[in-house]
Amino acid sequence: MANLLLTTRCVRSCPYCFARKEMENSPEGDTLSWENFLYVVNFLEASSARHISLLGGEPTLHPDFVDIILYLMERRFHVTVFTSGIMSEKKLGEFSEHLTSIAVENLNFVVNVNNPEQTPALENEPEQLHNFLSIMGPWCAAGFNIYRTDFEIDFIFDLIGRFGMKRHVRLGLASPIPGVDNLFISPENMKDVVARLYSYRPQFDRFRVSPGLDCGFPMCAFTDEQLGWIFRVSGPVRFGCGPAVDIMPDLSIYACFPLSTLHKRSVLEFNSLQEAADFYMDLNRKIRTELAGIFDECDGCRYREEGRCSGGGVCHLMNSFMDEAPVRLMEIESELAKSRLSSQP
Amino acid sequence: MSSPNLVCPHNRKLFDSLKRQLITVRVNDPEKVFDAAQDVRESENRLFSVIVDTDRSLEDIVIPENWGGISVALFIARMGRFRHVRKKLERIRRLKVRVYLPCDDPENITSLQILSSVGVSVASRIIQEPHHWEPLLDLMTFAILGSAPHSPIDPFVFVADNFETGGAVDWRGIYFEDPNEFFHLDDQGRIALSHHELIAGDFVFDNPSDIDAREENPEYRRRTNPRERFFLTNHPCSRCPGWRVCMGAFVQNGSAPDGCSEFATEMLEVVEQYRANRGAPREKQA
Repeated sequence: MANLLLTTRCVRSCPYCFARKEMENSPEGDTLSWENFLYVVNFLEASSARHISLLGGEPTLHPDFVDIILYLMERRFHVTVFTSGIMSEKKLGEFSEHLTSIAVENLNFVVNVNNPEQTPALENEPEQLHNFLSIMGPWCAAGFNIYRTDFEIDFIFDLIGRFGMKRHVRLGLASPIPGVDNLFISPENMKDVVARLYSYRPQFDRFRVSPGLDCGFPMCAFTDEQLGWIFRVSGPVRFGCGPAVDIMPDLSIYACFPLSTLHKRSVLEFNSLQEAADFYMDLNRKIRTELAGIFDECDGCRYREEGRCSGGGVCHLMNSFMDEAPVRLMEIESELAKSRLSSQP
Repeated sequence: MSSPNLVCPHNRKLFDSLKRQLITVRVNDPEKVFDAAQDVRESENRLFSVIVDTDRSLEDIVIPENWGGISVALFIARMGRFRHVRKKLERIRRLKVRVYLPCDDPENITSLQILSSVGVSVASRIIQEPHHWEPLLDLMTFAILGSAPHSPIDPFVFVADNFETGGAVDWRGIYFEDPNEFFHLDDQGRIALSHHELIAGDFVFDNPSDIDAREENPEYRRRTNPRERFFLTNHPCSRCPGWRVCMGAFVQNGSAPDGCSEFATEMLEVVEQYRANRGAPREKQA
């Protein structure tokens, strides 16, 4: 699966945004062209990838967003869209007219919601979100990015019930962008985050909502009881950090947003999606030889060695290198340069 | 010598004046397709195809079920928005419809790839100026070598499938413009060798009966014989490395446009690569 960015423009400015650095470095209004879009679709098809995630910025800002979705349906792709759900009435009318006939198995929206009580919101943001969900609710699962330990998610259960959303919440840990001052959950706060999440177990159980853990959660942040609950309601969980493979409108490619400035390449350099993923996986592996994981205990951890936990996100490791910078980072870069893998001259 | 295909306007009297001919009808209004086909069939002639020549977009054209059994060549100006075109795709794919788009606009070149990738048979009208050679090269490469599933994009696939080492391939027939096969009639039955010449009033024959003896007409021979047109006049096309996949098709008013030679040469390389990949015979058989 690959992530394709339709545009770098966004309607919000979330304090934890881990895409910010990449977005700020992109040309104003950088929008995916049809030529590049077709190239990517053919590239994915040649890679036997049938699932594509559409990101931004805010992907629905792309002027041909509806056409892009319909085209992907025609090519028999399964599509996940990551959106804020904030859009004009005109755009929402297009959704209603053209997208509501698509089977929910083929099109899925992850609506990244912020708690309006805790995160600065746009004027009318809740109303616009509700308008969106009133039409597209059945196609939507909630996504929530945790960037503070006192987060509150009661409102999500309310949204799920009111708008008939999927009974699943995608929970992401706000990640550090090496070299950028964004809000994120530091390793020492992860157990608090998990404990806070577990405090919502009664609501998850009562409303029959399953929590889905995004990348970067370390297994040891959970107690056995917490792990048991997660397993029971969501099935096996992978505590991983693998390259997501994000493709930009200009066809540049990188491992994931937080690592967007590290070893950016072009999709044109790879013959398949797997080749690109292997390239970034190998880079991750090299970085992890410098530092096993986000905790000292990661070094020698059975679960990390057996591949059941990645030891937290690479973005945290790179961020810690930045604290020691420039020496440590340069060492890594020099090592990578020997394999011609460094972006540094 | 192939049997002549008469490209006629929609004129029942004209059809009735012809007997046992192969006829292609050119109409401007898509709503006239069925009537035009019926009129040919009710005369003592055989219908080859109906050309719809319109400046409308595919988005705006209604594709009715009564086009079933009619080979329709849709010469349109642009595709339009995919959201509207998508609703017609099933019918376009099921009926014998081929979509022709002019390549004087890069957006149309992209549209050709879009339509092809969703199973619509398409042809690029690559003779139209201005030429956008870079996107055309990309389209040609995708058409011939692209691994993603797609319907044929002509003339490229036609060239790739019909080219033989040592020979040359003339693809103007895709546009009903091969003067060895297609003869363009006006309402009075006068005959030109291309639609362009028909519009300009440049006729070679006065009536259809002249076609049978066409090889005895020196003007006809001069215009249809590439050796006479290009080699005896030492035309630059006669020295072009890409001649064998072009045969002067880009020449308008006697001169070839800038960039066509490089394009044709590149197309020849891609075609040869395609033929080598699929293990085609290396030499033309006598």
